[in-house]
Amino acid sequence: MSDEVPANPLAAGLDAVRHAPPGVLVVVGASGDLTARKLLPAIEQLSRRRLLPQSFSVVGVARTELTDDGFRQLMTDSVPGAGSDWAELVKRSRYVTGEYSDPGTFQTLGKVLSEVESAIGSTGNRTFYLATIPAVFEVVADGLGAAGLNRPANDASAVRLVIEKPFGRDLESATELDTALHRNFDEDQIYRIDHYLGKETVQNVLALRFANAIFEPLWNRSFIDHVQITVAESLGVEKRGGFYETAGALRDIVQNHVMQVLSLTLMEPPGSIDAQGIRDEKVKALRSVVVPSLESVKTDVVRGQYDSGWSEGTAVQAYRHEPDVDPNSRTETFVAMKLMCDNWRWAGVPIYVRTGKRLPKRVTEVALQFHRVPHLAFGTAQSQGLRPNALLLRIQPDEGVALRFGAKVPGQAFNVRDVLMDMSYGSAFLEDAPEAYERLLLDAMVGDPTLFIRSDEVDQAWRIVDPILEAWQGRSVPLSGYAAGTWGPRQAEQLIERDGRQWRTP
Amino acid sequence: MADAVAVDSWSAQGVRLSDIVGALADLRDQSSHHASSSRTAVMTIVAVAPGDEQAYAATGALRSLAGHHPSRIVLLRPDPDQVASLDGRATLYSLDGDNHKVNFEEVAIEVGGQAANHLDSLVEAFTLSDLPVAVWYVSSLPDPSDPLLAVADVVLVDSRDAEDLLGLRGLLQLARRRTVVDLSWVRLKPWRELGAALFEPADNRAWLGSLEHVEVSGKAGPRALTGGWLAERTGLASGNVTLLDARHVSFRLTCTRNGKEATFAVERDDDRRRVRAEGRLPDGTASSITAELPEDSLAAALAGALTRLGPDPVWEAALSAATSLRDD
Repeated sequence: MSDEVPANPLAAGLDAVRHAPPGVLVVVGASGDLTARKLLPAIEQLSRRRLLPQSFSVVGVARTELTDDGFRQLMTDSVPGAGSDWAELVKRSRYVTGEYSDPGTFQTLGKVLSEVESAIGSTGNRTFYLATIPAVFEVVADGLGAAGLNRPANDASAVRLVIEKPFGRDLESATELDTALHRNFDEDQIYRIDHYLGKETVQNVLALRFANAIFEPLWNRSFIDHVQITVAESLGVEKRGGFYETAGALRDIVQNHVMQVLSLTLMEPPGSIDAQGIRDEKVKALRSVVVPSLESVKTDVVRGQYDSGWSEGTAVQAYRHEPDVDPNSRTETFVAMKLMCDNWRWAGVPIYVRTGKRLPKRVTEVALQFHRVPHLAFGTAQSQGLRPNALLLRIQPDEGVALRFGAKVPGQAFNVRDVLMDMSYGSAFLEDAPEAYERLLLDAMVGDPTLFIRSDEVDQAWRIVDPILEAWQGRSVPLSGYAAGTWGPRQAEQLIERDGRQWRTP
Repeated sequence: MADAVAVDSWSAQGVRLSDIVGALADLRDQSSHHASSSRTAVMTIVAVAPGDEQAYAATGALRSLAGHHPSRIVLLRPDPDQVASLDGRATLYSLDGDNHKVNFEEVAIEVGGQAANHLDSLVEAFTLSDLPVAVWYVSSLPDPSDPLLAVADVVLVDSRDAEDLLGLRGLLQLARRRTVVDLSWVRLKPWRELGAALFEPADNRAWLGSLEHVEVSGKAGPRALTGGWLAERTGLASGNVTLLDARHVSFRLTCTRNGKEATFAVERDDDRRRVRAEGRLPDGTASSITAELPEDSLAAALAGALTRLGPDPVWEAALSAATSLRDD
């Protein structure tokens, strides 16, 4: 038999379906909420779509005492109504109980992996998914390294480490985390997940910008007056009060989700839509964002915290009365800020960012507002309410793109008003998009890092956010209250009105 | 998602085309005063379905796609043997989608007399500006000289309607002139995917070099198409492909090397909407994969067809190879 096996001729013309290679997905923190709510359903979807080979297995690791059968039951319970393939995969799964700080845990894991791989016929591809609290990332990575599980057994296999945000609490701790991870794993083995990048509509920012000739010529300071990024949630902190107290909106949303959306919006066209091309340009865009000074934080950043109010028809309590929240908490649940980007394309174009909890609705969007026409020939009465053109990228919900422009109102008079040309992705495509975790899990197992965050991206995002955190440590920057169910504190309005602009109403 | 609901409707017999066009415009005009949501459409779909049963199935399937793929539906029911007459019906539909309300229109015209041979003259009044027009021949392959084809950006056919290889040759001629999407080809995608998946492992793929014989069962069009695909993709001589009649498509590849035999088969379960693929190597190793089939195969095939409206060179090559097979 020849060593060279030709390409599969029967795969021609079929969708470029990427199948996970034979291997094992090791979920560390397998008894936790993330595993049950997100990871196991995502794995089941991959199985249902026949993207996992038969020689694939899941091994759970956690401190919770469970037998193999107990973990299998957890897998079954987490995906009600799963298909028959799932039952087969569940049967092949294994579980290891142990403390992450105990080297024995990872030695046992190594033995179990050898048994599983021998049983399924895998050659050693291993993806370690750390579904744990960030505090144990380092100890788990060290444990894997000490047990020799951080390196592939042969040239034909790969070992990858997937970690969830947050990546540190500031630039210093992010750097420390990277140093710790790099003790045992090379950068190209580390897959940092921000599930926002797994969303189809976030990826669609790339398609809209770089697959269409009509937008890119307008995508610069000559035509765009300002950019608004809104990431709003109508929910409060729910049961995550304890976590939120240690994070706040700036760390929870701005440092990661907002910076990812921002970098995709601001980046230059990449040479190619691949991991290096895209990530290089994203990093360059983030590098161009002006780091706020301690002084500018006072004027260009607003932090808020929700008071009691009404949300979606229900009376809701203030943040400080939420479970596990300090009654005197100064944690921000809202951030509004103005950023500037110093490069040829964006110089002078303010980027207004707004994110928060208990806002009137759940919505994520990027709005590019264009300059006004240089001379409006219509009288004030004829063009009352006519606003500058805007291009709106709706990321969630009702994902789509809308363009606002002026049109003549039918009738004898020549009145113009705004109309919206509105495209909904849901109305244009028949295929359901995969869930973010499904997409990202498969990417990690296949070894495609395009939608994962490189360490220098993390650093650049912290570089922008760190001075704000530092400024907030003192009391010179006030924490403003806002009624739940409103668009944030009055100071957020003033932040943009000061520049003669207004927040959009998404 | 809920079913589409008819919001308003108009119908009349023995009318002129302009009456139907006018009625549709009136319906839309009246509707715009009452409904806050606007029409959404991504294409015009013209369905040619002479029979009641086919027309019912076709419109049902098209309406079921409206939530994700709203289109203006134009149903043409030609009958050249009837007296010259146009009977028209225009209906506005509304559908509560996942995030938004979708309004779409359906026009049905029964065409009697010679106009039934010139459907192109009726269609253009209803096509939506600057959107693609798909013409779907619901129950028969089109005559390549049908003038309606000139209206189509894409032609939807079903090679299951080919009774023999001659029918497929006509389809091949058409495919060389226009963009054709074959619903059978879309429907057979799970068979093709499973067949391809069998040969993803390098050990299995190496056996393709020793492929000796392929046996394909099914109805005339799909079995020939599948046989053509396998022959063309593997380089197997057409004489080594055997076609057999059966209700469902299945295929088996037999490979022989050094006197040892490996078989790879894909077949549909008789009692379940499921396709199963199995590979057996001489050392006794067996691997199998299954795929569930959609409940509504017509709607699913349409959904697949409308997702990709461009030419498919693999299908064309398979069709071309199919016409060279022997099917007794």
